Amino acid sequence: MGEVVLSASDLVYRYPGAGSDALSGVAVDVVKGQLVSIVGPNGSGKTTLLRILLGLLHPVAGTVLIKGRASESWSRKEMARLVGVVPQREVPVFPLRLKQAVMLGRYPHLGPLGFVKGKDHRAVAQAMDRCDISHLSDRWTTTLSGGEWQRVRIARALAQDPEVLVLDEPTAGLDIKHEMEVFELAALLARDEGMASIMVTHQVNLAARFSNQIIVLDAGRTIAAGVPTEVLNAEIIERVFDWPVNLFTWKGIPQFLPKRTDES
Amino acid sequence: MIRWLGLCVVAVLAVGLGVSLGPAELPFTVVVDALTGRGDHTDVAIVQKLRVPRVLLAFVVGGSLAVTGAALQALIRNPLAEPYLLGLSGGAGLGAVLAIATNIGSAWAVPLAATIGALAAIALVYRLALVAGGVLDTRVLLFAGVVVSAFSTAIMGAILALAPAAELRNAIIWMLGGFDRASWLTLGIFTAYAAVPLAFLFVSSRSLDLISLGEEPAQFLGVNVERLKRLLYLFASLLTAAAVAVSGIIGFVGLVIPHAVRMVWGHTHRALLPGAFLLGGTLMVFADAIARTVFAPTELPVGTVTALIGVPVFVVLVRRWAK
Repeated sequence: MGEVVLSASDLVYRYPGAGSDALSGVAVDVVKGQLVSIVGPNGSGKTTLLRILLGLLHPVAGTVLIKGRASESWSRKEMARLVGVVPQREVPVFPLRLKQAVMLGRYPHLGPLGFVKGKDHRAVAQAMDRCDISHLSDRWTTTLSGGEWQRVRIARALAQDPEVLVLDEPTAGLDIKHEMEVFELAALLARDEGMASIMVTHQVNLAARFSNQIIVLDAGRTIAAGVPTEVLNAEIIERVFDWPVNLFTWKGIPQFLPKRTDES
Repeated sequence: MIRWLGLCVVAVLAVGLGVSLGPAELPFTVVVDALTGRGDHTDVAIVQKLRVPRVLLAFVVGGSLAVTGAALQALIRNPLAEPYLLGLSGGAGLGAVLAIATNIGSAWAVPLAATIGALAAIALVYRLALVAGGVLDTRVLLFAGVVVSAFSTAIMGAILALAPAAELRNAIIWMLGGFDRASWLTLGIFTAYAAVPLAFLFVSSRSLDLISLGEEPAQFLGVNVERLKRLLYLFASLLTAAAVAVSGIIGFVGLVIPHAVRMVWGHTHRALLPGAFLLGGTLMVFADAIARTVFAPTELPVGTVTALIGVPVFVVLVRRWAK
């Protein structure tokens, strides 16, 4: 096991005025060089968990440590130098050139007057290269396809030069090719560059194939957590997603095919 | 670079033209002499005591309103935001009218009263916008701004109606905006109130780039969003209030100018804000020159001129934005 960069334990959260906990007793360890996926049905607490990990919500109980330090004690700027986030939805209002959009990722590294230096240009070029968007650098962000825009946002997070990469449903609305490119990139960044990555996704099968660790959430509780081949099975998936599935294995990895109602 | 040079040249030309134009027709050479204190005493007085401060005030007020508009557009992520349409100008005007009507202080205190008015207006606009639901909808916010603006105008109307008749005409003209009372004093007052807010907005260019992505992405990229929002509202209110206190309510500069600059320089604020300041100043100097020459010796309110330019642009923007 590598170094644990982000560690949360015994998280409990209840939205103000809600009758039950949105999260109870959830734990996550994000390790350098590993991709952790969080799956679960809508409303299972995935987004709440991410918001707590990123310091946007304060848990009722439990702790979040980033590099061993309580997450509340990090300023937003310090946090941004360490954690790159690709948020779920983001609609550009004022179009930027693609290169300008990626440069926004350098903000936490700029001085008080915001001057861009050579190392910032280098980091942006490298991030764009990594996400295979260098050839688009002068395009306006409003003219990009869904897949290209997603890669721009990942490049922006990489330009932050982070140790942790957080992806919130990064493949929503993407076709097979672009979906695969995002998963490939996330896995590659973890494996080759030691990124500690955490991804919320609805793609259980791809999560099982690409992740080092998977966490299955349901109604705010952890139903399963660990290496996908060890913790995933048809019973868990059927129970959590409330739908019958067929289980296959592909190269030893469990894959789930939902059943039609007229199939037994 | 050439575009920047061009803009600077146009700005300087506008200031020169503004100083030369006026009811008293002074040849250009006389104006140049008068600037250095030579020539006829009356000419020197007209140029040095009336025209120069007036043109400079118009320039900095126009520039400040345009910069404020650009910043508000980033803050609420809507290209239709500007101090006038968001109700800031109306609130500031009401604060200033109250201060003048109740005679509570010197010319230096009027901007303070206007600031309080502007802050109250934006707070009210926010409350109204949130009534529609827990999540802030910028379209509702703009609608609320127009409503609060109308409300402020109504109250101002009542105060003016109850004021002694002799002062009434002046006050109404002041409300419509103008630089006829410009002097070195008003220029000084404006500069004193506007310097820090302007400096803050210019230094915050990168943060404005980020906040225009949305609050969550901005936080993830390292912006302390709550603090930035508070400071932006405060300084936008201060800038608007300073402008209203010295020149009345002038609308649409904050809308038209940033939009024009966006078309040429794009949307990053390190280019947008200086561009908006220069172009806003230039436009205001031209608008003021039109206001005082077209029907000379009677002056049009400069707010009328900017509205005549601004409303058609607003219509075009709404059409484009609604698509």
